[in-house]
Amino acid sequence: MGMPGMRETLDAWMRQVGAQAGFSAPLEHFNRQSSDWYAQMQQVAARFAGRDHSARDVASAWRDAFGGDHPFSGLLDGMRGPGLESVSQWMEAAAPSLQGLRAEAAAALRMPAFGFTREHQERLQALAQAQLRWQEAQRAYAALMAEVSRDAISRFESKLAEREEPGRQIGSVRALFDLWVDAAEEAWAEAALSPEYRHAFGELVNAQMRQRAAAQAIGEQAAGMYGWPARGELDSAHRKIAELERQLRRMQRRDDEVAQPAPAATPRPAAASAKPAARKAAAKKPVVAKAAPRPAKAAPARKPAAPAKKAAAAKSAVKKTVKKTAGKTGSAARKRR
Amino acid sequence: MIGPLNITFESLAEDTDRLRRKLVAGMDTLRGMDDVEFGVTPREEVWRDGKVVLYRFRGEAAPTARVPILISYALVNRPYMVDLQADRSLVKGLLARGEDVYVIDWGYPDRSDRYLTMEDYVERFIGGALDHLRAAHGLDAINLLGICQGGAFSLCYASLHPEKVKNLIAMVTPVDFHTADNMLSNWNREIDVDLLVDTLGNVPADMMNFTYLMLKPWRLFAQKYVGMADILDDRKAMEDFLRMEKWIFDSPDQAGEAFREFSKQFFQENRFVTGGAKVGGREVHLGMLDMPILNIYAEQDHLVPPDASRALRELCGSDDYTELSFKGGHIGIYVSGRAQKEVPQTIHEWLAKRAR
Repeated sequence: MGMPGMRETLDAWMRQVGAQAGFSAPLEHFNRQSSDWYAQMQQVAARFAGRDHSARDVASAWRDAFGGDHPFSGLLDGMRGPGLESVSQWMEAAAPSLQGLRAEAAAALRMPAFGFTREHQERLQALAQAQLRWQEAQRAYAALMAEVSRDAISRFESKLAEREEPGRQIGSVRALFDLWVDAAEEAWAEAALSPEYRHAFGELVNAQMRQRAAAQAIGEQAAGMYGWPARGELDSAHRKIAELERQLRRMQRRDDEVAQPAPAATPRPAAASAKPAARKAAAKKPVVAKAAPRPAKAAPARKPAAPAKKAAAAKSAVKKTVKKTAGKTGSAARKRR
Repeated sequence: MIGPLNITFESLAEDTDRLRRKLVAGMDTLRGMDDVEFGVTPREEVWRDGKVVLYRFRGEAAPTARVPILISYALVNRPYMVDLQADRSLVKGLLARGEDVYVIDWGYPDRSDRYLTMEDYVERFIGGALDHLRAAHGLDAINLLGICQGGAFSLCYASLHPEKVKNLIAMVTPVDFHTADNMLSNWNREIDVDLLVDTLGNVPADMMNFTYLMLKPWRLFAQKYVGMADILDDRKAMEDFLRMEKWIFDSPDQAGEAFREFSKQFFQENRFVTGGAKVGGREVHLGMLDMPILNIYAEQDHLVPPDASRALRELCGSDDYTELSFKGGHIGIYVSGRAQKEVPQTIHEWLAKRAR
């Protein structure tokens, strides 16, 4: 169905370019993230070339192009990198070490841990439980994304309907694709700012971290058997070094201050003299009353306490750049300041 | 033809043919290109602490400003965004107007940096660089320009050491993290940050980048690369595109402990607004900011919404407070044509008025 050409053209180009060295990153992006979508949109457009149709027809054809999946899921597939692995990718990467544990973990989940190996069993149980929680979180997140996709397609249809009148019709695949992007982004922006998304996303991230942490605990223990340094002991060493450096720097700063005392300065005004607006903002604290701002110690001041606050209107005036020519520097401005 | 589409087989064939021609030309363009370079202004290292380096940038003429500007960028991307290329450089624009510009380069943290805290970034690195400049220039206080997260760090530093900051410039700096249009904050609020950092150590750059792209997934994952086909036959435009791609994805991992503190204090608890933000055990209060402040924000910023930045107006303790509302986005504020004209000139004029 549809007009062949664009996908084949893009595929041929990618094969040719793939043989060249040096451009793989942007072209891989281009192919995976855009050319597929664009070629798919062209095929949808081709179905309605030269014949009558409605906004609903086009939106339905676009929805059907995903073969039962939904566009947001398709968009995010294939994104790989540290911290981005889906559970299947992560398990795939960790397979050599986890292969033997899966069956064991599932079994261990169904029994209480006791005896000499109880600690090992508990680590396996934690991993299996984390795995289940991760799958639940993934399902909930996928359901939310499917809703966003439905909303995006519905918005797409509405935008298409606005273009049905003669003179407003869409004349190119690019314009059709851009219309879809507008609809999808609108739907996404609304969902992504919602408490529901906040919750689903938080659950997803937390579940994946629990799963990784459980696997790390097993890895840490396994490394110990072979006498390999593990993350825990490296972290301990790094923490000690960082703390030592911080202590050393504080001592050096104290020594410097003794050797070169700061010049005497007029005492800093009490924080209570901060402008009313700042104090007012401090009082807005919703949960716990905020203590008045105070310097940690009597810090030197460069100027006396500010006078009464200027009129809010004058203070909040938004500065507009006057000059519209860049790079002009008058002689006055060039004088040494 | 009735319907929203007025697309014919002929126009589809023309589209495909146009794309084919672009792709063929693109082969030549890409074959003739080396890896893109960035950073156009000569610079020299003047101070270093671990992986953190302070660079002084050199303009065509010696600086006329007596008080230098220290630029503190965010940790999540590389600071060469402020000196990306010859026609897109905030640094170059400031130097051309006589300013003396220094930039902190945070480097690329590795696992041995996992325990760097906000105290390290604010007191040790910003403080160390700033003290170096005070000594080198024989000044009590210098100008501090903080960008995005680097702006938040600058607010912390200037609150704790107001006597060392002559003028404070905040660019696209989040202050109120809980505005209704702040997606990043919404996503962050139910994440168990302790579990995340304890598990990952440092937060991987790919995870950070993925999060930023997810703010506008269809525009940034798909539409952008469809648009790239249009410029495949334009070497200059492709160089600009690839340079920006490099900057976007050339990201450092985030030092775990600093990420933990920043996320919990600001994204989750909004402590600039609610109070109780701490750096190294010392409380940060924006009411202590009594120096002149220039707050520059971007009207179409999808990362730091304007209201998140504008909150500084009421929270700071300064009576000399100015805003520049820039018509553009979070990145456009450094690289757009409008930015080259407006931003360095505004900063320069604002500083000049306060040079006495």
